[in-house]
Amino acid sequence: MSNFLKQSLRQVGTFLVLYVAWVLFTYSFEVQELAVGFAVSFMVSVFIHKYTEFKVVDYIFNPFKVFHFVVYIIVFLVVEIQSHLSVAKAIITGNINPAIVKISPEFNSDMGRVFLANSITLTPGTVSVSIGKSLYVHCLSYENGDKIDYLFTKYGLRVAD
Amino acid sequence: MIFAWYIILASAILVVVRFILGPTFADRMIALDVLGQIMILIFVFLAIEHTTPIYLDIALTFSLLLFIGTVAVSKWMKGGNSQ
Amino acid sequence: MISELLLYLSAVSMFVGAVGLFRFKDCYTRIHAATMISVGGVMLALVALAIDTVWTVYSVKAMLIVIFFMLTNPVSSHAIVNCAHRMGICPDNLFKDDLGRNVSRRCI
Repeated sequence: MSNFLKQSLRQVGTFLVLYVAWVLFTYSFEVQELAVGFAVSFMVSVFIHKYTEFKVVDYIFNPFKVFHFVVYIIVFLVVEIQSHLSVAKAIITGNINPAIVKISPEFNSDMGRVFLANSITLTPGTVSVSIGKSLYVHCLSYENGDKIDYLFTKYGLRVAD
Repeated sequence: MIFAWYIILASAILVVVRFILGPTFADRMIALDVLGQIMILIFVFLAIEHTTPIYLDIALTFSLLLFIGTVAVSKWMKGGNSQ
Repeated sequence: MISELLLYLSAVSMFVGAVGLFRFKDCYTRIHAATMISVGGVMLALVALAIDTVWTVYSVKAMLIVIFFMLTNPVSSHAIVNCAHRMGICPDNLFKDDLGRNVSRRCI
């Protein structure tokens, strides 16, 4: 019973995300388009609902996590601008000291690990080479990469765990 | 606006040169990925110039196909059942 | 006005990234320049378009493309780098190497 409930809830979540994406992307509120979107997103959600894992409900009804997420976005933007400037300086002047650094994240769930790896790869200057139990990061300059890993682990641990 | 088009042309020529003389497979793959992203940027600039939103549909479809192509070719070159 | 400034900034950032892609020595450092093009070029131009036209069809589609790009771009970047590492392409003159010995034997 509980398994069935969980699965149907997951299917409803998948359907809602697909339907909202459809409506926002067509952006015309006629009856035909809404009906076609309903049918298509229902059929797609029947097929793919067993591969998705949503914890959106966990996040929306928890104000602390929303607050930490906003703080994380601000930290991410500041780090992004700083690393853009440093990578541009490294391209123009041409002195780099690359390194591969091992960090062992303290995330328990897979989703947190993916969150951390995506954030690290999205900033220029650091890219995650290999992901397993621990995370290997190729940095363009050694000190900058170490600082970025420390900041993302510290602030991301409060958001996704 | 004409200044931005010349910058885009110059960077696309640099990326194509890197695609031709990249020594390994990964360099050519990176150059191909970046060339697709420059294509998406060209579509965004066209949407701004001509003021029609239909170029943004092309940009989203192109980015989706680019992602699938890059991941598929990389997984295929990696080989084996490595995770 | 601010959106025009952001558009020129994205074009300049893309040119700097292309120069870096041309100038760096091995593929592990070239991917940083590629990340700079995708984040500083494409996403900044889309954000500029979304700032210019708030709550119209342009800005909604532009923000959707930004979210989609933010989810998929690190995956493809990581796929390329992981493929290069599995194929045994070794990075040049590392300052410090924690990975080295245990994954690819041809690299040493």
